[in-house]
Amino acid sequence: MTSRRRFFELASLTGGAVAAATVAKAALAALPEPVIETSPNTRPPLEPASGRPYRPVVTLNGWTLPWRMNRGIKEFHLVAEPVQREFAPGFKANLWGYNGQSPGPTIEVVEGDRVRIFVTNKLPEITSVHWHGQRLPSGMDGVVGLTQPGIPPGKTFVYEFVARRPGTFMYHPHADEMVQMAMGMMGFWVTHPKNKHPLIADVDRDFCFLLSSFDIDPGSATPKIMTMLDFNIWSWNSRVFPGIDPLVVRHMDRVRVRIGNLTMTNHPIHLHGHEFLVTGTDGGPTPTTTRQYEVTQDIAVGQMRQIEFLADEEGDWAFHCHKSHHTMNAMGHDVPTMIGVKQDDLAATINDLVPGYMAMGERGMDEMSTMRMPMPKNTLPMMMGEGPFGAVGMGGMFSVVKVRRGQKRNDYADPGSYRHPPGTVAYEFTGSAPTVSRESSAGGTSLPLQQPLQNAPETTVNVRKPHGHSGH
Amino acid sequence: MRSVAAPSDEAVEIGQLLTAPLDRESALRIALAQSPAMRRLLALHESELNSAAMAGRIANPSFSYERLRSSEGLDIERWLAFGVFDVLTLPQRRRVAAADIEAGRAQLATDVLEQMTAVRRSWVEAVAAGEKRRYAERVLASAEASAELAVRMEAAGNFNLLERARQQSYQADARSRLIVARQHELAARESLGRLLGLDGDQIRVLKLPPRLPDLPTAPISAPDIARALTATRLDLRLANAKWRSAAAAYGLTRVTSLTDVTLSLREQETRGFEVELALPVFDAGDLQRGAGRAQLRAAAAELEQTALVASSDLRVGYGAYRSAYDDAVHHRDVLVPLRKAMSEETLLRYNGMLLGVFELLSDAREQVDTVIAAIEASERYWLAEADLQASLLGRPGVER
Repeated sequence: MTSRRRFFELASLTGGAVAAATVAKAALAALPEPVIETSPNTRPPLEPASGRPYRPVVTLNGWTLPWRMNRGIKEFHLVAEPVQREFAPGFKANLWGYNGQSPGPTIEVVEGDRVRIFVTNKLPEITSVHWHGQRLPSGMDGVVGLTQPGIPPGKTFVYEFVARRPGTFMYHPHADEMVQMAMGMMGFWVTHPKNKHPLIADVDRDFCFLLSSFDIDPGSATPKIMTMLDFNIWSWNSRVFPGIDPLVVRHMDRVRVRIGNLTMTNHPIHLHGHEFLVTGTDGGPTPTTTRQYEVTQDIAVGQMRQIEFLADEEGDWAFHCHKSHHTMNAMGHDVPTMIGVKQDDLAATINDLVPGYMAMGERGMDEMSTMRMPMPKNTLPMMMGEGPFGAVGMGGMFSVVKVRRGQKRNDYADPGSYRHPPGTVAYEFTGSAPTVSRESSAGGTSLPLQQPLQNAPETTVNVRKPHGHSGH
Repeated sequence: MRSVAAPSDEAVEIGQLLTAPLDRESALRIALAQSPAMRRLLALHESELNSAAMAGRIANPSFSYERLRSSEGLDIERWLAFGVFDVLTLPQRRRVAAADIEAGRAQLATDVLEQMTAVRRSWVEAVAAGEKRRYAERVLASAEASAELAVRMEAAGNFNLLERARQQSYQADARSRLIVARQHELAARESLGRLLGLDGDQIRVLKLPPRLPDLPTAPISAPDIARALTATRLDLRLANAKWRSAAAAYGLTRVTSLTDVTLSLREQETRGFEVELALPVFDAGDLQRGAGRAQLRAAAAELEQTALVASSDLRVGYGAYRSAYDDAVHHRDVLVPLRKAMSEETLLRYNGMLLGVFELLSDAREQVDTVIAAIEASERYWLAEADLQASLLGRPGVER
């Protein structure tokens, strides 16, 4: 006990660059037991068992790291290590992460908390942790070479600082960071306000997730770390649709969603059915005078945004990146457009050369969302997801905000598909074509008609019996 | 041209042989029956028999067509070698020193053996040429599908001229390759037909197997070579016969036999193995006695030289054979399966919209290229095998 106490005293006494010191073997026993998560599912919010109370966040397909109080200091233990992460059933990747998953666990503290984070490096190379956006001593900023030596493999370093301002933060390595971030090393950090804050509203549900991208060749499992822009996996918390859990809320809940972007491009995040306010950025809460209602918020590289809305419209509301290629799973970016190109008559010839070939793309690519053909192993189809009305045909950065009247407070369980009130679902038109009145003066005197105006052809209507869900 | 009297049933027999795809044995038989060099050898042989008083000492001529027909199952090389050997050793056996006749016979025998080798090679080339031509047609079919799709793509506005032209250029290349492949096939068939003594009509309808025979499960082993060599190699047998004849003429009783010419094989790490011929042990003292034995010494020297040449010839022939075998097996067991796996994976990627139909077709063309390379490796093997058979038979009186 003495040695352990002496170690913590030593660690807390030191400041600046020397604070990030290696942990002696004898002291390892004194570290908080690392908590390892083995499932990619969304964990319920972690109610604070000690310290100041707050309303915890829900990390989408993630979890919050438990801590222990040590003489008023919140102690966390992050373990940087190789992990296997399931992006969606059928696709697992070899990543680097923290405590069993990528991204790492969310760290939740309260403004003014003194925080001590032990970082054990189980990677084959040095690492460090940069506490993105935090006010802290320069020597705790985690930039290898500049503010600290790298944490060697097998060693544990200690970071300690006071969480000075409330807001949304991230953490990620600043050692070989191109590689380590391409491998999935990142995590979320939320500092809750200590007292009632004029710019920080109380919310009923507080979600958070990180945007991340990977380049994993179909059929393989490890990201290509040298890729700069041409990624094929666009993920939220290292999950892709349909592997991303829905954001389940109760009707009339005030909902906050915190999003951090650690990809290599911007992401216009779009919510259906509601308008939201951007209530916080990297720098903290936004002044109310700057807030305007939006349905899409672009999040630049390295940025964080927190948006808030009143969930006052019941239903299943799509929530996604508006770059439509980012709502797809792995796809070939050089695949030629086959629209309007007849291939059926050549299929026999091609099949003779390539047994198993099927003509595709002549009428667009929606057929891809329903066709299930053999694909490279460990690869998700480009377009996936089954909804109550058929194939959703999505992937990547796509999820659903489910607003339900009957949802219980603190209940995040998926309520299933929305039951639309009768007469509120788009339906097939089966009547006759309305007559169209047409302008006959043509171009007037400036652009006179070169030929007599023909009678406009009647609009062709395919009359079919109503079917499916048109009766809702 | 085919005015030399040939039994009409021979023509019938050959006609029958030509109705089915012509295998290599049948090709050799037709060549033996029709080859002018063969007929010349037989005619000479016959005249020798007629003029020689001791004709009865020679076994029934081995080259009769009846023998040819009834030799099913008999190893044609061995049969051929013994047959030629009979003819070649006639002067020795008759104890007639007729050097000019002997030389002429040796040349004729060489011609026959070379022609048999040429038939083997030509058959291999003709079969391979047909196989390659068919694969060239597949490449063209793939390139044509690409080009046709590209034209439609451009018409639909999905391709520009550059892309369309690129796909069409593959088609144009493939067509050019097919033209060359067809010409190769035609030339190879004509070459084979010539060696078989077929006329234009027969060559036109000549049916060949669709592909070369499968590679043997194991290559001819070094001990097999040793056995085949001592049993058949003509030059050695001839030189040895001469030596024995000379020795007998001079009353040398301790004449070493043919089996004393032994072959030793040494496995080597890099070059496969080494062939060494050990010569019979001569009693040098006996040989040195008197100038009267100069001819005996000459025969011994000739035997020694023949053994040296045969040994080197075999090393070259077997080395070429083994490397061709190893390479052909490598193509069959490694390169083609790898390429096949790549094509299967390519199709999976096409299925997943990870790549397009043009890449799929391009991959199909590349796969065919790999198959063609494998056919060529197999062809090299069968050519090397023909050369090795020639090496085993030897070429009497002709240094290579």
